Amino acid sequence: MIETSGNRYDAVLVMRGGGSEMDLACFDDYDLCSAIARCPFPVLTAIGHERDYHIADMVANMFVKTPTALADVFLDITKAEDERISSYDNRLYRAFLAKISELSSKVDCLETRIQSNDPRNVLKRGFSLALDEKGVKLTGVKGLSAGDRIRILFADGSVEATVDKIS
Amino acid sequence: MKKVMEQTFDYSKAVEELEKIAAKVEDSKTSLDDIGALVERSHELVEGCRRYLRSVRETIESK
Repeated sequence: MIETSGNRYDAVLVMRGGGSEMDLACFDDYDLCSAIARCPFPVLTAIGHERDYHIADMVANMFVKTPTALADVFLDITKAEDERISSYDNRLYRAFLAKISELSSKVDCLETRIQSNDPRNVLKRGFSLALDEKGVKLTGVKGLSAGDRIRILFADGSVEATVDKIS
Repeated sequence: MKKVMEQTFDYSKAVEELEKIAAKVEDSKTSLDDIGALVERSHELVEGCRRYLRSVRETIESK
């Protein structure tokens, strides 16, 4: 029935609490043990008392002494899996924070680049700025001729001037 | 509405535009008037980027 159900099971558990020898004899049954051996899913057994050991235990993927011990096995498996998934969660979260930090730093750097290259910030430090007729910053006398109109910017205003002499 | 606006903000495009602005401001041939407009635009983009990153972070942390 397990094979034909169409369901995918994680495991099949065969459990039976303590009983007499006769009560537990069925776990030595050929048909049962053959089905356990051929089961497509892992079979775990926990039959009877600590002292009991049956053919079903021999052919199972894993056997433990008691149903209580089997419950502990599964608790440990799910706990380990929880921890594994939590560790992925933590890793993902740390990676995410690192990415946000990286992106944030990039924006800060771009802002700093723009601000530090804004020539108007130079004026605030007490310097002046010379511009040509088109408003483009003058960086030297090259290209200037006597008679050219220039503008000189200060922090508190500007002056329109004409080039008299270049030296 | 604010959350929708933040989540439709195109962060990559904003950063790309900031890179272009930085290059233009660094170019000595750019006029001062143009620089003024570019710097203004950069303020908007920087604020937008920071808001977007903040909202993404808050969305993840609230889960």
